[in-house]
Amino acid sequence: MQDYSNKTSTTSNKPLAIELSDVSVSFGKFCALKNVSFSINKGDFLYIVGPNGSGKTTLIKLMVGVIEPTLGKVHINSDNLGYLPQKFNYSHQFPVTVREVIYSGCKKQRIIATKKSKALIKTWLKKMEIEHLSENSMANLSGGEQQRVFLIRALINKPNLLIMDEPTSALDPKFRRHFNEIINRLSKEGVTIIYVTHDLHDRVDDNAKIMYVDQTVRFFGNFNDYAARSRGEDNV
Amino acid sequence: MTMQQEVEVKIMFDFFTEQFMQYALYLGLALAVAAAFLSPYLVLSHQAMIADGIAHISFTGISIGLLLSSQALYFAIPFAIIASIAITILTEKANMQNDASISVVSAFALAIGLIIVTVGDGFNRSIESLLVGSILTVSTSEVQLAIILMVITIVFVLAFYRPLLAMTYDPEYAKFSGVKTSLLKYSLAALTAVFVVIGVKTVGILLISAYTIFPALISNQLVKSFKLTLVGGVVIAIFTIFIGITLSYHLNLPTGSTIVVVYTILLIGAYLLRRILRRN
Repeated sequence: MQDYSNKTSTTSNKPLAIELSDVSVSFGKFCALKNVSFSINKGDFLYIVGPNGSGKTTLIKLMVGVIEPTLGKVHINSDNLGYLPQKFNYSHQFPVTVREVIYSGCKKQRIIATKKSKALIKTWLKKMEIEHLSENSMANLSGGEQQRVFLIRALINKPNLLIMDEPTSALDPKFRRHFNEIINRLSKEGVTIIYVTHDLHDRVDDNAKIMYVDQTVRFFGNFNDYAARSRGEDNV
Repeated sequence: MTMQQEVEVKIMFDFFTEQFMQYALYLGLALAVAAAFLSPYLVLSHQAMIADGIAHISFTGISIGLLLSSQALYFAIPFAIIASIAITILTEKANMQNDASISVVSAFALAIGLIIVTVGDGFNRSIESLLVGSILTVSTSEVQLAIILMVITIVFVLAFYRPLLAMTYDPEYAKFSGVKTSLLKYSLAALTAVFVVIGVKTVGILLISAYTIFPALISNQLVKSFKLTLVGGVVIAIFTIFIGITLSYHLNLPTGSTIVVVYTILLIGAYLLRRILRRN
């Protein structure tokens, strides 16, 4: 996709949630991202799309602070960030229960979880329809069930900025709809959401912004413009 | 329990009234408990061989210590800590696999140690005891040192229980959550190094890594949660030390080796038990 838009920010009076200025990321000689600049405001919903290997996950890792930019600045205006990574770096033989994983997302953690935390975890497990799995080992869960556990871990602190990297990839269609309802509700409550996906067909919010990334920002705008330009490119 | 059974039990454990056996027991328990607290973090983050690598490294540290002083530990402990940090740096910064980093540093250190032993005179006896250890001839100060190490390890693990778990399970999410993963990794490596150096003197280079590997491995066969893996490992370690020392005394076997054999039997037993439980 060609450069279609130089405007890489949303326009509203709301305060900034995220701002990236001329950000580049290199791993040795390989340049994963080059001169990325964009900003979104609090309460915005942004979908990030792009082909495989385009730097979407690198961009997400930059925003959550797992990697540092080689050049440029990343400004995150949130004291309560939720993160749902694409791949989970855990061993399948690791002895850890659902409850232990979710508790690792809680802000204040103790050796023995408090009653309040236990009750909160129970509520979320119920909401995600996996209450019966609370004491199960993560190793015995299906991919979709694990994804729900990691989603609870991301949401349990009630984040005001939620960053998700292909969150529905392991979910079945039924739970995908349920998941999208939850995300839609959060968006309506004012949570800023960044959502990496390959599939915009089941997008949650029609007013969401779309950002097409391929090493740099190639498009930033609304869905109708994005769809029109994608069709135009297909015709060419 | 009948009178005769009571007498038999008393005879079986009567040897613990002797001071050298008490010291061996205290030291064995202190080291085993310290190792059991480190075990899940090392084994589950694929660093099971780090204790083995540091044991080879400590051979050089103790050799240098013996060459320069009567207090080898004063040289060996900082030497092993530096080497363990070097392993962590190689893994983190030089993009090397953990097992490769351990092999590089331990092979180099062992080579230097062997050169020192060859060049130096009068080493043979001390070096042999380094290989197999001498738990029955430990001094009061060595027991005290092991107990201090155990207390430090327990305090460290309990104080950082959740961050250590997060770092071991999902390092990227731990970093996102604000866990100082590098600092924790270096601290864990340094603590493991101190454990190994103190352990080598008493249990031997060849067997010390068994103390850190077996507890989590055995426990992991039987439980689902991380907490129970840790607690179970400690219980298994204490049980193994008691049985290992008792058997080695009555059967006149080397103590360190007997402890490792008991650990291995327990691992096989736990594996079989898990299979039976799964089938049912």
